[in-house]
Amino acid sequence: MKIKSICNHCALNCGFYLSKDREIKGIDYWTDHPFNEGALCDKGNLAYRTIHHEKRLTSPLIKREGKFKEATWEEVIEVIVRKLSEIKREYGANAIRILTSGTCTNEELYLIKKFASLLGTPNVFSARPSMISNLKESFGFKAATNKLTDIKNSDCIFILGNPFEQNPVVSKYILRAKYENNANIIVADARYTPTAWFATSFLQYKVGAEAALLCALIKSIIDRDLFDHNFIEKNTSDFNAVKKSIEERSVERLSKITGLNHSSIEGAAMMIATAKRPAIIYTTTIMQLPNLSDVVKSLANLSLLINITKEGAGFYPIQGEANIQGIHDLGIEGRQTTRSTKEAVKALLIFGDTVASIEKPKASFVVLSQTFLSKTSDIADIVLPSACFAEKDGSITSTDRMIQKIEKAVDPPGHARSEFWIIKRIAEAMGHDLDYDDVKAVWNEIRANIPVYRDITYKKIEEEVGVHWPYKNDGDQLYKKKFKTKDGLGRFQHFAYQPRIPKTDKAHPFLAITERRYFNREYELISNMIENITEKPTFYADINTKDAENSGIKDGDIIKLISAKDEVTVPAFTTDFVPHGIIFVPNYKLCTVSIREV
Amino acid sequence: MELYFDADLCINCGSCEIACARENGRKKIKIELFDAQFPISSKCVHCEESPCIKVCPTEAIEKRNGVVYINDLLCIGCKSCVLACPFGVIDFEKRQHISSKCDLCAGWLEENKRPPCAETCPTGAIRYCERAEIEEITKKGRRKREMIGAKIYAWRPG
Ligand code: SF4
Repeated sequence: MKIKSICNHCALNCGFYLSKDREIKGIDYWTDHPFNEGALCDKGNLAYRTIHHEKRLTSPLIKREGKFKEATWEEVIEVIVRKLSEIKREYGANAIRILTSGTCTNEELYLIKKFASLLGTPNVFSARPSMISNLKESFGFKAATNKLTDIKNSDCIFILGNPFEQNPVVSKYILRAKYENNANIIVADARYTPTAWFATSFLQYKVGAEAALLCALIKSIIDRDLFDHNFIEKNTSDFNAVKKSIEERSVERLSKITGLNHSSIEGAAMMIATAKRPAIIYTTTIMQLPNLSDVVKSLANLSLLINITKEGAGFYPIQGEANIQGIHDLGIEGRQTTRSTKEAVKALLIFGDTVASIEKPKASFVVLSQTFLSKTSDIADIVLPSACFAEKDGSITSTDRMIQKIEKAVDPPGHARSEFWIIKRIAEAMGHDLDYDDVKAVWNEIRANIPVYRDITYKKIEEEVGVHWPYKNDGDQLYKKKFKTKDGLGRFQHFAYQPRIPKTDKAHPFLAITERRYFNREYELISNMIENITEKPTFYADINTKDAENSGIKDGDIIKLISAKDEVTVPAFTTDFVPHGIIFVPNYKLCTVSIREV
Repeated sequence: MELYFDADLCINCGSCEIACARENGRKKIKIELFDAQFPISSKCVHCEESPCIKVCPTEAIEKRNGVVYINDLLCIGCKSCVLACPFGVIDFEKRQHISSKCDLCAGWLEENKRPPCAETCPTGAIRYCERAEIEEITKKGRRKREMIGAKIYAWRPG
């Protein structure tokens, strides 16, 4: 039997078929899927292996004397309810914080939000910071303007990041644009990546200089007067203010910050500004930066300047977690941690297999729902076994606003249950009624409450594969007539371009940079299969050849990376593609490190 | 229908190797990087007079419908074929202790299914299609990364 399924390892949400006898046996390629046309990346090819994995959690766990012990649902729910009520009584509902992640369906997220409002806490966040929240002020929606498939019509693509390794399937459309449309590909990254192999113009900036590079691009477009004055005047606001704020900065000086030749920046700016159907793409690489919001704002400014509302032009944030767009659509903000919130939190509920590293707030009660025990579980007092993508019904929204249905193919193992069931049970035990029979009922309520989903009935999701919100208004490209901000004008936002990266010192002479290649903890179950097959490690360090020589490290040596907070052991590879003083480690963090041979 | 590899489109994502290993029990396709940035994939050319067949002591290698095929059950892992192959395309699978190379998914093709590497390839670098389709592409002359002499080449029965 073949059952339609959606990969939940990244926000592209590629489709495939699960083939099932009594268990899931393998996959088949969904060759007429509107986005991926059958193609899958390494993660997608093995996603089905997590379903019957031996490490799956099959019963709720509760921590007693520092160790997890199995318990029944009745027991754990009793404890959760008691603790939550206590905390609410003592510290107020605000002390309860709920984190969600992209493995939850839209319906589950809606229930989580509703549950939070019944509890009286406004603290519902996505577990990771948001890379699109600043778009709301610029454009009106926090979303990509077009379908990802439209990339193939572009004639100039500006890429910040490395989608070819992070979200490989999107390369399909980027390369189609390159080869079938003769598009110019401009790739900006701190190191030479597989995406950069295909670049017409490759801008290798110094780490941290993303905003400065974008500022230089904006400045040189303004200097050369390559923008549409009419559009800027009629459809945008605050242009002059932003223009004034970067008035004194010359492209030469900005290019010094980026470490690039100013003529190459100007060349790229000309390519972008003169393109008929430009596309701007950025990936999760920038999420490691402390000045994330400035980078996003400057990307939005650049796209306003080159008029992203042109027919065929597009702005495409390629996000990480599977349903992260759904999280934003339902009005859940990205996580921000400040010291005051850290201390005020007394109960932390985390739903879904998030890849975020979360610290346990002091003296708090932590509940986690997961499909298997991972590193994050250490902080939990109670771990609830949850259903994976093939074990629940619902809908998820991909990074280009495509809403797809996920189908239940098998029952969850043992006592594992979907978040839908878990939240309903907890709410019921607390005396709140979340009276929904199935996901359809929830979806109808979502439609009533979330304007962008209004025209999309559940039947449409079931019948048409790949429905994009909003269903009719603007067709597939947003903002064709006007922006969706309050005044209908696209807003230029002030941004700071100064790099804000950790300073290296004697104790930690190298700067580690990273990019995330997986967005779902379930990947940890399949990563060793991937390593075995491809015979390449998935966690490694790339070091500049000269640096390696100086520290006496040879290609393939195992080294220890020591940062101020932790130590990791990785195989090191020497390469010239990483600049001097930088160590690239995938799925790590931005920090200063020292290295030692093991 | 033939299987083609287009080095111009390969992004070295590794999906084909995974899909192959999943369906065939081990990886029979291998993408390697030349100069750390130019993907190449050398594969069996199914020679007319295959040295590997001649050298195999257990007659584990045979030719069916023009496809050279290694029979896992008969292979004793002596590596003679690995040495004999003039193109160096036979790999030795250490864990299973047998020789391994692409047999064009002969079993799949008989069932009229496309090979998994071609199905899963995100960019269409590996393609299972008619020759005319490839000729169309080459006519457009879009060779951008010509420095390694990349050209589309076919993996077909000899
Ligand atoms: S690109 Fe993303 S959605 Fe597609 S198969 Fe890979 S991980 Fe899954």
